[in-house]
Amino acid sequence: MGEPSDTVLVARARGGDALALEALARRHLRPAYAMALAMLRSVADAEDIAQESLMASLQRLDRCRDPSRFSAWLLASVRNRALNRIEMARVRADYAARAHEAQGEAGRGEQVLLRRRLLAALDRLTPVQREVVLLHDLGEWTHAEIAAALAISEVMSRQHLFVARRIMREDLGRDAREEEG
Amino acid sequence: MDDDRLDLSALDPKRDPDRFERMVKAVVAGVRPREARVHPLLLSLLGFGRMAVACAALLAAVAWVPALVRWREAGRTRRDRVALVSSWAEAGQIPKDADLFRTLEDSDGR
Repeated sequence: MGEPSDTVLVARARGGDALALEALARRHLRPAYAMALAMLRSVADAEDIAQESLMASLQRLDRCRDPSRFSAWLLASVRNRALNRIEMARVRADYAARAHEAQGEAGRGEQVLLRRRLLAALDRLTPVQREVVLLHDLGEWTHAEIAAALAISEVMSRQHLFVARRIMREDLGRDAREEEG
Repeated sequence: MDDDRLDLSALDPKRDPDRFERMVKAVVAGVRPREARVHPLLLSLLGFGRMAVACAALLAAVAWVPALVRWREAGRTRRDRVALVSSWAEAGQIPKDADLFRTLEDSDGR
């Protein structure tokens, strides 16, 4: 038997089933993080926002009108929180500097360098290209899921992914060549 | 799955499974049952508040009853007086002074 759908898990979680709640958290944490990363381009901030949004959404499951669209509902919350974070950071005027600096958490040397390159490459994409490439290649969502969550067509999702990958590959390849040279 | 995908594992929170698990657990731990979110003292106060509102509503409803009863009695008395005076008129009867005074007295001049 396959994994239970979001609709089933939401119904169970509403009824107080802790395992269903955990299953929802496990399933949606990575896509939430991918969306937050697409907007914030900071791993630490994206992790914060993903956790915060997921927690808030799970806390208010009774307000999710269409449980089959739980992921889209969650992503809307991630977006709002990420926008608030950007706005707050803008007020503090240190966001740009922080977004590009090496992440202070686990990982050293090559890993940090690779992460920095990826973030820099992501920076060259449009917001929707970033969302699509991260949800697809990191969040492991299908084009159908991305299309539903971002209110775009599947064709557009494929198109954004194609362009985003090409830009990022060119960028990462250039970085690697410069490194070797 | 799509083989052409970019290797974004350096950005993947699942690259460190233990850390990912901790993140999941932190989310789940942060989702407390609705009742547990409110301090017990606040819940008690809320309980008292609810009871006070219920009592006030009951009193407000009951307070109308005596006034309603009085109003209905007054109406009945008024009707009785009118019936009495009408019966005198119909019978062509001249009321005794005492009856007339008592009836007028009861009506407070109305």
